[in-house]
Amino acid sequence: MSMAALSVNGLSKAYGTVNALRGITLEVAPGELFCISGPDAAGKSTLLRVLAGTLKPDSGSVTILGSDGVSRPPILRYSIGYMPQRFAIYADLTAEENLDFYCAFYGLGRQATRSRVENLLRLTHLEKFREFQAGNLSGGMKQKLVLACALVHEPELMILDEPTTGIDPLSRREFWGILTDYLARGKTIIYSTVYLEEALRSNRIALMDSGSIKVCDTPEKLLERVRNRRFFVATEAREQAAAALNASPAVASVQPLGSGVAFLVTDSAEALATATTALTGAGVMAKPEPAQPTLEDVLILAGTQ
Amino acid sequence: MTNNAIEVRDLVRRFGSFTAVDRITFDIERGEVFGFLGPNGAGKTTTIKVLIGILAPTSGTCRVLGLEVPRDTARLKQSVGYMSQKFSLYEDLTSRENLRFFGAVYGLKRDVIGSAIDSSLSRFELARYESAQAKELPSGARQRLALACAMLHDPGVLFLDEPTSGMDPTSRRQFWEQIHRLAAAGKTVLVTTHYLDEAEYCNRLCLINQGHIIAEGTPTQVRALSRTSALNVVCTPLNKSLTALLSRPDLGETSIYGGSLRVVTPDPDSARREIPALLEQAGVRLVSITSDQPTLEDVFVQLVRESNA
Repeated sequence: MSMAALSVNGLSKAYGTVNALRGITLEVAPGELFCISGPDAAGKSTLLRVLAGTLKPDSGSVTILGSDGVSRPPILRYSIGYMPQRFAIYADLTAEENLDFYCAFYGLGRQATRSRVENLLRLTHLEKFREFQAGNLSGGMKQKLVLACALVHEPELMILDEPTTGIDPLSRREFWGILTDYLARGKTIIYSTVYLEEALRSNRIALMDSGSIKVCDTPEKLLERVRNRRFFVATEAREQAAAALNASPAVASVQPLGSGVAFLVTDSAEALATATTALTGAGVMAKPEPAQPTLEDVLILAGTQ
Repeated sequence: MTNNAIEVRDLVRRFGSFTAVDRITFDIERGEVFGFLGPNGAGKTTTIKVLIGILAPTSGTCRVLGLEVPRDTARLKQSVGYMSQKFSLYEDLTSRENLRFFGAVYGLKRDVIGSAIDSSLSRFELARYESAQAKELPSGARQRLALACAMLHDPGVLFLDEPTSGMDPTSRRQFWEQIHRLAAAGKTVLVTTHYLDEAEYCNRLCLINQGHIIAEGTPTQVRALSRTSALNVVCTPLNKSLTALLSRPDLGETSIYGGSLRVVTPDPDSARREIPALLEQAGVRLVSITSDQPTLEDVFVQLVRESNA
């Protein structure tokens, strides 16, 4: 069996009386794209900070690329790239100067610097903006530049903390394009997101809550848990439909949408029939149609069961 | 009388030689939740700023609740609420003090402000945070407080610019439930978001790019505009397959999806034809290729790219 890129055992961390991490154990394989998701204060950032070496855990062990991730031999600095939520780029420097700076920081020679900077400017579609001061770039461009800075030393493992928050869908696509390219070269990525659609882009997802991992599985297996449970009824009478569904014991969760109401049924065999009767009783005659489940449904059902 | 809360006709806004909004026309009905989507720099925020009366239009006409922009700006400010992603709460003030401050800004009279704040605290489920400083609030409560501040003067129209940015799934869902309650009570809501799964919460969508409207309709109608398809490619090993598919960007855009790859492509027939040979050459075992529904984000990205081309 090949060695894990990252392995964490019984990791705990408290801030005063708040237990941010409660005995986290997980393993990430080389070349894996691993996602950590969950609500605020679940411990996502704390976990990533421990992995990145900017925070010491209270107990537990971390092994990264074969080295001890807690005592952190200097070599780890060169094999890990870390993009925290607030990453320092120099607003007064141009896009290209920022990249040059990080190359110098990692001790890259002139030739390596030139080729990597050019390659990253191309991948991020920032060639035309190389002379722009970083502070004047749009949010999406800034975020791509930050990613490029974290990639200059071609780390084996990338740690990304909510990397795409606030950037537009087009920039986000490009951002993921860069990461996909990096993955294709056999590198490993662990990232966090509060956007469940983005969590689905991974090989595996760990859903965290209150400092623990609640479930950890592939997107397919997670969605399998809620298969045949989500329905959608198209109706203008959304309020009536939502009220009727909320009152039905067969319904686990109700989500009013723009053109109707989506809902999750409980796992009893008659649940759909019961929910349909509740809708008809409220004067909503449209038939509920099966709908594609979402990761949010997984979270909700995990919370109610 | 028209049932439109917002009417925009041929709106243009220039900044020097740059045209941020270029002759856009749209209507929003009373009680509608209207999703205003587009990449950064598309003109969304500029349009909102015109509609709330803080930027004058270069040309075109806009009416909000029958009031003309910019002529009726003073009255307009009493009828609209605005909350942006960077909405600033006073960090050292408590929830109640923040509300009182915004009440004063909107000119609420002293005799009504107390009861307005009380009902706002309960309506937005903030009662338990009444005496907590803004900086101590969890992000969901913070965002609800920002919304409560923007709504204290009971405006008929709400402009929400990326209100859910950075919010966690539970808070986002509660936030949207709140928006639907407001709409059901007759408020009109224009909302922007970068997260396309949220577009499903809207009654109607308008997609804007480089100052032009490039698509409009219900989420279902917008989805139907797409000529984009998605394929789910099950194959092993994944890294090798990824390298092979990335070498052929003409076949589509490839990403990881769990244990398989997802290829978003304008031409699924040729992709289906060519992918097996490509993977075989790369020494990859192909298990299956199946069709997958494009997401609203796939559609959005395709429409914006076509309009940029």
